[in-house]
Amino acid sequence: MTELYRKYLLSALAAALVLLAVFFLLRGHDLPGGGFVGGLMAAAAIELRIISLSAREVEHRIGRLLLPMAGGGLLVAIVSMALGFFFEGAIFAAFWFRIPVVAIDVGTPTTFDFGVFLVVMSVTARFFLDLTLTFASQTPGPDAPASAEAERAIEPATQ
Amino acid sequence: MLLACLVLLSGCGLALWRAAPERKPYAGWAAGLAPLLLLGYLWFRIGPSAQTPYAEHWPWVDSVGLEIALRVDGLGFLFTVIILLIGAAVAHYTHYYLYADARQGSFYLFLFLFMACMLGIVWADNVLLLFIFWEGTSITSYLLIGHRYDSEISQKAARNALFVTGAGGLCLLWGLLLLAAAADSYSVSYLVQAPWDFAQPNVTLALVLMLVGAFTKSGQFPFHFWLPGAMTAPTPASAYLHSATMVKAGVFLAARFHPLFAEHPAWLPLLAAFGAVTAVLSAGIALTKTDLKAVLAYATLAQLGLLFVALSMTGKEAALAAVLGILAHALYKGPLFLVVGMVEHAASTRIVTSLAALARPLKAVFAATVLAALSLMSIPVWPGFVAKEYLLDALQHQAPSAWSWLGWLSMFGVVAAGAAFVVIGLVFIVNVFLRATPDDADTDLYMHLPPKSMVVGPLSLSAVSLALPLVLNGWLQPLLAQSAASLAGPADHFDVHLWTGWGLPLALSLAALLMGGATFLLQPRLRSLAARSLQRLPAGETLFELFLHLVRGTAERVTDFLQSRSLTTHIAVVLAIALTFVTLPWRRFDLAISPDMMRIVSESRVWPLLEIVLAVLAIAAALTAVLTWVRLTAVIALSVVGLVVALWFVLFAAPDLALTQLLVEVLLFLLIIILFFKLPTVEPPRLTGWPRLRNILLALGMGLFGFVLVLLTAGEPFAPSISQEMLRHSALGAHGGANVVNVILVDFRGYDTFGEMTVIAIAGLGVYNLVRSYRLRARRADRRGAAS
Repeated sequence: MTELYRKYLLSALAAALVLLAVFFLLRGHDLPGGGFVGGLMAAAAIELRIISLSAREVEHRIGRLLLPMAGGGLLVAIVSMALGFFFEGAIFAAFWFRIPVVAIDVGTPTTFDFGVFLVVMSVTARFFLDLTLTFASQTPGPDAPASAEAERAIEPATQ
Repeated sequence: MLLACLVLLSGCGLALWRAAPERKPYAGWAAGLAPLLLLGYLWFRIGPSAQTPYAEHWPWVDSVGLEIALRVDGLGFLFTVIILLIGAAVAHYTHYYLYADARQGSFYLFLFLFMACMLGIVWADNVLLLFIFWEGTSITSYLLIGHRYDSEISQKAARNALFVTGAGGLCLLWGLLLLAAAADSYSVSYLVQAPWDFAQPNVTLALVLMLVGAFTKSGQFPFHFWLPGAMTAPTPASAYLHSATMVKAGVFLAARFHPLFAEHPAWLPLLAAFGAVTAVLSAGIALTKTDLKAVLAYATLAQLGLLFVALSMTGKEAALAAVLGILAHALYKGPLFLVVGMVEHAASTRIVTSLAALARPLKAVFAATVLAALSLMSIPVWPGFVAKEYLLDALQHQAPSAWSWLGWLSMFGVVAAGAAFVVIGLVFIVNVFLRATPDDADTDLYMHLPPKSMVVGPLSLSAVSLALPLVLNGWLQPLLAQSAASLAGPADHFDVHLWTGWGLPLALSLAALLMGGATFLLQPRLRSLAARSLQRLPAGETLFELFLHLVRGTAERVTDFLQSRSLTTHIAVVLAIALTFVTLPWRRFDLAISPDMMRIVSESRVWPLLEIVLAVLAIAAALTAVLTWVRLTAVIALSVVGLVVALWFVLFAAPDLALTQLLVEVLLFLLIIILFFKLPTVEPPRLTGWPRLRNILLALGMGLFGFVLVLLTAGEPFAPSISQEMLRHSALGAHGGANVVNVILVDFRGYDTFGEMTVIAIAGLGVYNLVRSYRLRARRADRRGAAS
């Protein structure tokens, strides 16, 4: 029973949480929400995956993406700042455009918020993943014996 | 165009850095050609004869008054010529000097970056820009001195140079900002012409601060110790930065602001006093040194002192003396340094007592040395002589008037330094090149002749020095006239005479020459005598080391006190200090709840019973957290407090805060649970006595403080509320953003958010590496345990 709960219910919850995070991110400009809350929520989803799968498995799947994603978030924020400089003449001057087919307004504030989202999510998730890998690894979970290959992927620079 | 020149020079540096110049035989020629081409372009594009300065402006950060304002006037152009001319010779020479050095490329990079920064100093027309370039030369100088970064002496010398010039730079910034605030303008050219009221104390303070900046950069007494230390730099850097250009930035600064301060009663006497004292002192020390580079370093300090003496007077002659002195010094000191590098290359030593008879193997080098040394010794019609004649002439006319003893001190400084220069010149010509045997008879010179092309740099600079008298009044006259006019104001004519006629100046020059000759003959005995007497003076470097030691010791002691190795004590200290300093001004605050706040609370449609239930819940949870001895219970109780707070946010219509609080509580709870894996399973020891009392007091204090803080925010507002303003702007200007919290975060206060993001990302990287290294160490220990 616990196994089923861990495997399926938590996975479904995590997926729902990711959707919710994106929802909060997108509506942030007009309604409660935004990049920070959305990022925390997405991090919580990843934490759920850590509980349901195992830290090693999550590390193996997305671990190496997290820090680059944080850097990407900073890059997105910088580009959003700079767009205002190039199109409006001042850094951070808001700059809006409408995506033609779906008729959604996208502006530099919302892309900037997306950068916040990426940074908060990746850094928080990275933090949890590291702590779990380091401090909670002596409790052998049901799926602890990851393959030797996965082991090497986690610690490429052991030597 | 000027900005493009700076970018181009930096680009040249980058290109040379990537091109591995140590493996390309023509890299030296290419590197030397770049500044020369630039100089040629600027000469024909701007030219020295232009009456109006060439200026250009680019916006940068308007809100703080920073703009890229570049302006070339006569003085700026003179320095431009020096920087690019000597720069070309040094860049060519570097390739041969660092012939087998894998880091030649990075040396070139820093050299060209320095060149760009130095040009920036002399072109900047905005005080903030001037400061930025000023610090840029300090930093590139640090990198160049520390080229041999694995040598402890280089590290120390580089650090001292950076500390002294960096501190001076900060003083300069302070002074510049005071001036800019007083005149309400950041433009250098405006500040210099503006009408000043010298009764303002701020202007006097600015004067002193800017003098500190100039004296640190130019190594004047009492900051004279860093320059000789900086001689551990590779010789091209010494020749370029520490004699021809960077140390002249201080002189340039004094010259640039000379028209502003000339009327101030303190300006001229201070310049004269420090300049003359440095000239006499350094000339004396130079004679006691045997290391050729140290000799030249102290001679440079003495010459810089003389330039400050020249600036301590007003009028046409003084301006010409300063301008000629700057030009002549760069043209003879640069080649002499380069020659020392070649002598060292050939004989693998630069200690003068071990050198002799180098004239035969190094003919071209000897020629360069003689040409440069004659200018150093101020033999008639060499530029050095003309500059000194003008200086003495100006002193003679101004000395007896206002500040007589300073005038005589300056006069003495000029003659004494002149005599010392004669000795140094003779040491170079006779001791190094001509005499048959060295003092240390047992030294056996190892000859490793430098490549032929290496001499091109020093020889051409010496040749320019030789040609200079021929064009002083013709081709070069506009340049000198314009730069002198920047100092003394426009005058009808600035004729330069090679021969100023019979009189006191010539007599003093001859006296210096004779004294120098006599001293040279008696030199070995005098040197030991002077060395013995000078040893008694405390060296500036020792004092500086002592100062650094004190600073470091104090910092360590304070850190030990504040951050003890126990986490509990550490947190206690932090909380206690925070409490003390925050509650100090408690009398100023009014703790009454404002009627506005009462109205908001009474109007909010919150069911009163709900409030009471939440409050009771929060208090109960908090008490549980404090009273329980089980860790898990305490953590859960703390989370309950946090969740109740989130509910409060919901009740008072702050959904954004509620959401964030909720998520943070959940994640924090998870985090602590994970950390529980690492804690020992034994119960924590029960505290007794003072630690227990201390913790109770601190906890009560912090709780009370939080309570008071909430009361304060509910009281009369300190400042008018900006909520309405923000709401209006958000609805109107931010594309209909109805969530004002988010609009403030990502739009109005985007800079703050960006800073926080960066902090989060960097902290994340730090945690990643910390935890990862811990994990790897634990695993390695496990493996070792398994193996044994």
